[in-house]
Amino acid sequence: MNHDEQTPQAQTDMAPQAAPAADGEGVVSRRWFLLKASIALNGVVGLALAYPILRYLGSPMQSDASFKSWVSLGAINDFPAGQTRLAYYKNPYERPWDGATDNVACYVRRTSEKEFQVFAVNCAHLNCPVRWFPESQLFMCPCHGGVYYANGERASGPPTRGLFTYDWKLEGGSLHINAGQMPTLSNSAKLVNISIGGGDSTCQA
Amino acid sequence: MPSMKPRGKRIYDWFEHRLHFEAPVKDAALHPVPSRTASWWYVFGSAAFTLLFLQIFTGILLALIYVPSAGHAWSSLNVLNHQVELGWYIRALHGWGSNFMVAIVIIHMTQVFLFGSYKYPRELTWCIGVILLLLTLGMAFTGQVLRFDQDAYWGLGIGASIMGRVPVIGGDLVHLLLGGPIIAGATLTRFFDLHVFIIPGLLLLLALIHSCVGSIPARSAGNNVIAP
Repeated sequence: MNHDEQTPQAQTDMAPQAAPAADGEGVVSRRWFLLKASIALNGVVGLALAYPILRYLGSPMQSDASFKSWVSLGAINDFPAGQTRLAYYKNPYERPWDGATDNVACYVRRTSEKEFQVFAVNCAHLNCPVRWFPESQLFMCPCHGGVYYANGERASGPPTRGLFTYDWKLEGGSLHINAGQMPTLSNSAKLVNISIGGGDSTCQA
Repeated sequence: MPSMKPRGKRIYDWFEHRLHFEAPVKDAALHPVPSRTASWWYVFGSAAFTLLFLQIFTGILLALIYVPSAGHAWSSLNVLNHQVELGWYIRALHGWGSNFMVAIVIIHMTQVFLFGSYKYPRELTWCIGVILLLLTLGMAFTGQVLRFDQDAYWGLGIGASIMGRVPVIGGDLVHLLLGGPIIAGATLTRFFDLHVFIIPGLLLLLALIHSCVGSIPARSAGNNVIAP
């Protein structure tokens, strides 16, 4: 009966049909009710705050038109036929404080007068920058030994596929590519299919 | 009536009567331990804690000069190294301190594992310790990103490409990690936030819990018996 003595007010406040048991079960004291009510109110405030916070934090995940837009790599004549050249473009998604980081590199391979291939510099294994070796006609990655043929197909090493490629088009005498995101296996960068014994390396029999 | 105590003692007492610091400090410093534990094997936890405070202190000093901007981070470090009086030394303390902290935390963990000190009643201390190890490694990774040199840039590329392998949400996670579609200014800013606010906050909070939870069972589990 000790508990009942402590909460006489609560007893009289209760509806008569909910007669409290001797051990105080079913009794809701004012103090207990206010505690629960304030926890619930705090929960509501928390949810009201959580929504804008989560939207704010998730803003980089929202797709932007500049993630996929056409940028110029310069005049077509800068890329001699039969050669692979390093080119740079200003990333379409940029901020004034980006420094050198929004100046993105890619490899342009001109196969004929009107035919190009544009590769991301990022190895398809772990995004390290591959380097073009004209002597052996191979792209080689310094990190874990990934090697690609001149046409971007995988030659050897840990990459499971060829180099990432950009869509390209010719417009007014200059070469444009569709770029904006760092290529990873999860975004829309297209991949060169693997075929055995590809490439035109002079090292091949 | 003027007290007979010296002034210093009176000031000390004034604070002590309000803070009650003496008892817990004495308890922590003087409580008896088994004589077999009076060994160098038991210093690594305190050493890791000391290094944490060295890192916080030197980090605050570096933040006086460092500029968390992709366009200026590297040049601000050049100023720190070559133009600021003893800037190179403070930076070296922070850099070497981070290496030592990772090493000491791993040695501490190895010692606790080999001595079986993770067993009841210290399972929770061990679990928090595992989180502390991950946070320490997180500090090391985010810290080297702040240089924003070639190492940092391509290291981020590796991190992003690992993240991109997560099924379904990988692409979104990459954008969340980089703060945008490429490694750029937004990436450095969020790694600065992680390195200076988020991870150290968690690290400090959990390290305090780790040392408190770790020391309570030691005193209540009959460990306060001095071996002959």
